[in-house]
Amino acid sequence: MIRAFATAATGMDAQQMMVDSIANNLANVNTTGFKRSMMNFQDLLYLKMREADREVASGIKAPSGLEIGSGVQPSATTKVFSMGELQRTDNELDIAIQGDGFLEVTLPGSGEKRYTRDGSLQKDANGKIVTASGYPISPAITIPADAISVDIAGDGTVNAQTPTGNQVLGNLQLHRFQNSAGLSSEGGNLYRETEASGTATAGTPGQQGYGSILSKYVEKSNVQMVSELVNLITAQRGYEINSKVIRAGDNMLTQLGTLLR
Amino acid sequence: MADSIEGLSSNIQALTQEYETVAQNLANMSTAGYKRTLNSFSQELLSRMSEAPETLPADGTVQAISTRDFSQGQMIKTDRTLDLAIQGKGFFVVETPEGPLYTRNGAFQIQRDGRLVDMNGRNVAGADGPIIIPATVSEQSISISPDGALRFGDTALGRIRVVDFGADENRLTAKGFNGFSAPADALPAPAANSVVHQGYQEASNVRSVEEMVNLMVVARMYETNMNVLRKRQDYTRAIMTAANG
Repeated sequence: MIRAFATAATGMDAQQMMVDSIANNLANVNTTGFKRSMMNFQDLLYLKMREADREVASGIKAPSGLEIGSGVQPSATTKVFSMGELQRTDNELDIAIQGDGFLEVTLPGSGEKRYTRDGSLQKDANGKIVTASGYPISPAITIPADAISVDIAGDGTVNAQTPTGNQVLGNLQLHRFQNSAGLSSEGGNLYRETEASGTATAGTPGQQGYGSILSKYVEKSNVQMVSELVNLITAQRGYEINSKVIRAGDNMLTQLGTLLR
Repeated sequence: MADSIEGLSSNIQALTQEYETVAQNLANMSTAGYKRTLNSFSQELLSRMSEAPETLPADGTVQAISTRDFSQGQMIKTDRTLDLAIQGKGFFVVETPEGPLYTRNGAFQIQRDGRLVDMNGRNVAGADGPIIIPATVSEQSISISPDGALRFGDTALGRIRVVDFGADENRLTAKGFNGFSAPADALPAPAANSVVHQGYQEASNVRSVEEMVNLMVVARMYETNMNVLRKRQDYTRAIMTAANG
């Protein structure tokens, strides 16, 4: 009976974690480039009371065994890297990555590299192209002060129109990972390379395996509100049902206790 | 009166076991690919009582039998490229050092050396060994056809093994972590009538309403057994008091 309490407790824990993950997804429903995460569960080890296929009498085998489970645990939270919706803006520096790949940014203090899908790029005081948080993209591209307009082609080439004519400022590069789901989320729309994700391989946007750059668009969050709300309701019911299991067991135990009076 | 103390106690034990089964099923109502355990002890006890009212069957004729229900769970769309769900009979095969394990949970990912693995890092078995995804292939562009074949554009990357146990399905034992093991003489055959869906997960086949009803019946039967046990206790006490003058 007590074992069942622990089992039901793991069930409640699991539903709680589900709610936490859903809450994060819903909080980020408007975050540019956000990728929703999903919880995956697995059942825990079983206590074998009787093995299946054991001999009951000579030559007769019982077809099924008796195994008591110990509940559930989360196996992983996976980031789902499906494309979010594309929204047209009219900012010449806004880009959306259509397909696979991340932009690489440099952290100003340590010089470490981070990766992002958030393409709301801006110009800082020196003309360098930076993300909305001010981190310069790498390799660094600077826009001259006298540039009239800037445009970014599908293959990442950044062109500026200056009074003296057209000038190529540089190329945006995309970076890919063997296992994007293994990237560590650092917050601020940034991901960090880990051992599980593999090393970043750089490439030109548009070549095989890499997405292309769509200028004047941003990629919205890929959170789907309706399915998150449905999952929320399911998790809430699951939590409640598991708590009922504990309550029923408590009643049964109470009766056991009154036997000895 | 057919109810002996041993009979009552074995009833209570069987009910406790059934309660634990219900708890396990309900804890796993969100686990993809989970197959519920059926236990009908309390229902049988209840139906025997309704045939012969006022008598609690405690003579050991009602047995606790627990079987796994391998019926299909619902398909849930997740849009994740490497989420697979089997519609029909069949299992994915994952390799472990102790031998192959069979699972209905098809949430896979790519290890950093390119191997296709499940959420616990165990290799997913392909038609000829583990499936390796080359580093130049992006995860989002892998397409998996209904027979389990992986493609990247026109290049074939391998084929996921889907096997079927037929009548031997009932001899599978759950090992936890979404895996089932098969006894040595149960040989799986390639699954014939199943379809692999990409971007879907198979929901747990636990029916919460049924489990709640079982929970209620278990609780009631438990109470009934306890009441009979308590009455016997009272009788015994009364007899002892009378015997001792």
